[in-house]
Amino acid sequence: MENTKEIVLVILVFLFLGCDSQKKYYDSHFNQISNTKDLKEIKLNLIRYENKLNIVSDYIIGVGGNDEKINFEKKGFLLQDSIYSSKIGSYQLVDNIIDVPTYTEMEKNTLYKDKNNIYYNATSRNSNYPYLILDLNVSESKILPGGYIKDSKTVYSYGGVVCTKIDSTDAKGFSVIQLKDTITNKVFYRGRNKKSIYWNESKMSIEDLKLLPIGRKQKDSLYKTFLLE
Amino acid sequence: MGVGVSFEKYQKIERKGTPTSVHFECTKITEYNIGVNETREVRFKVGGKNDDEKRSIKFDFSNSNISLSTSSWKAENEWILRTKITGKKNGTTVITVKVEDKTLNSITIHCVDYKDVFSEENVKRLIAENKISIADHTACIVAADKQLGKLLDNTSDFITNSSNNNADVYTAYKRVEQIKKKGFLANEKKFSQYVFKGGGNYQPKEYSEENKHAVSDYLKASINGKLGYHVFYFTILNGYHVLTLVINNQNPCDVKFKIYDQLRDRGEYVSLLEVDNKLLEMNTNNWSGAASLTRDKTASTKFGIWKIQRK
Repeated sequence: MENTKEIVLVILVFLFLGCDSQKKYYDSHFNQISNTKDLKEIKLNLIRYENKLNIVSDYIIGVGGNDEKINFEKKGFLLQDSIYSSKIGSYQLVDNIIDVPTYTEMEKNTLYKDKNNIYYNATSRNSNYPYLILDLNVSESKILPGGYIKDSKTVYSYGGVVCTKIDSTDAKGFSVIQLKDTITNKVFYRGRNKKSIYWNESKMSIEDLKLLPIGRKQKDSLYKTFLLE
Repeated sequence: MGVGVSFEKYQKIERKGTPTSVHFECTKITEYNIGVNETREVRFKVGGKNDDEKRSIKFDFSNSNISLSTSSWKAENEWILRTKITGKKNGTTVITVKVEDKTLNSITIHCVDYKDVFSEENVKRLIAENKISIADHTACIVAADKQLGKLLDNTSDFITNSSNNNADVYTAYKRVEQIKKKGFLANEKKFSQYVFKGGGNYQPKEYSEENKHAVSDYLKASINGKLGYHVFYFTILNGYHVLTLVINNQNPCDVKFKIYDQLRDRGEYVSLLEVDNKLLEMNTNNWSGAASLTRDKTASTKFGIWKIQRK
């Protein structure tokens, strides 16, 4: 009985600490914001702090062990007052770039847009400035299953461990194919255009295709794509 | 007609007890190089069998392109002569080794600034930056970028504490393209996922038969006999984690490496013989973590290693 009480107490302490870390906010220089009353929620993941508009993501840090395995811990939330634009190759102030009235969420905690831009959350695992502006035309952009977003000129893959532009692909003809894993029975997607099949951002090779756990009929159909190359 | 002696007798009569030669302790050194303003310890071995006899050994230089902290010794055969060598000016220096004022052999030293070889001082700056990254929990790709900036003493092309320098630091493969365009890459090796058995769709457990030494083979070829530190930017699991790898090839008979990232300090440098296993361990133990971030819950096992150079 006494042991049970102790276990419950430990769990409660952990829960309390866990909740506490969720409330911590850090500015774009990674300094913890002591007075969270200075933060003013504007819309979705937008917060005004010290008269500047900031875009907010989870603040996640990696912790390494002797076996080289990386574990991730959430420290709180990270504010970002400038944002990298892949369109112009430089950082812009969030205040100057985000149009708050038209700002909406496209995909939960991942993609956002306003009338001018699409914003991707690369997470603080991948960058000290988690959000970036994708080089896409907002009005033409379309999300495809499997973690792809494209306009008439450009395709981005964000279904892998990183979000990256797919180089030299025909964006207009780019689509996805739905496949079924014969081992797990789960549905998954691969990108494709006329001559290539993509696993996230990478062009698949014949060897990749051979290893895909899909039925023979689907595999044979995919082989035909390679014959076009 | 004079009476000759066999070479064997000549050796015994005339050269009995004197050192056979004085050369680098590490017999793998075929050509010694050092950069300008670089200082490192160098060890020479006195050849011949030890006969408990101390003799004067003196190094004479053909020019002043290099200097030694000690250039004369009283030493016995088989002893190790330790000194510090400093590169002063580019060019070749021939050291004439004299024993008891008689010329024994010569040693050639090249003072040359190889773009892809770094000094201990250069690497110390990278290490200092790495310590900051560990303390600050910097994102890996940013940490690696900052380390390279410090290594190259370059504040305009790499991220610094006060500037992001408009670097596209979201994926290693894209960032390395920028680094390459700026002229900081000496060479590169991209490893397909078939370096590992099974490749890609499953957690890698071992290298495929023909790739067991693929990483070390590339690194050794990249070092190419050049003495000093060699620095590499690398990523595992298609960009899941970005790191730097430093090889200490000051002594080719004991080549060591250490991996730097923001996660932890891995302690002492270890033998380069262990590098294949270390890369396998990193890919194996992080595959599930990488896969958990992807849509189809599998992770590509392709990875890349890029050698850094000065412009």
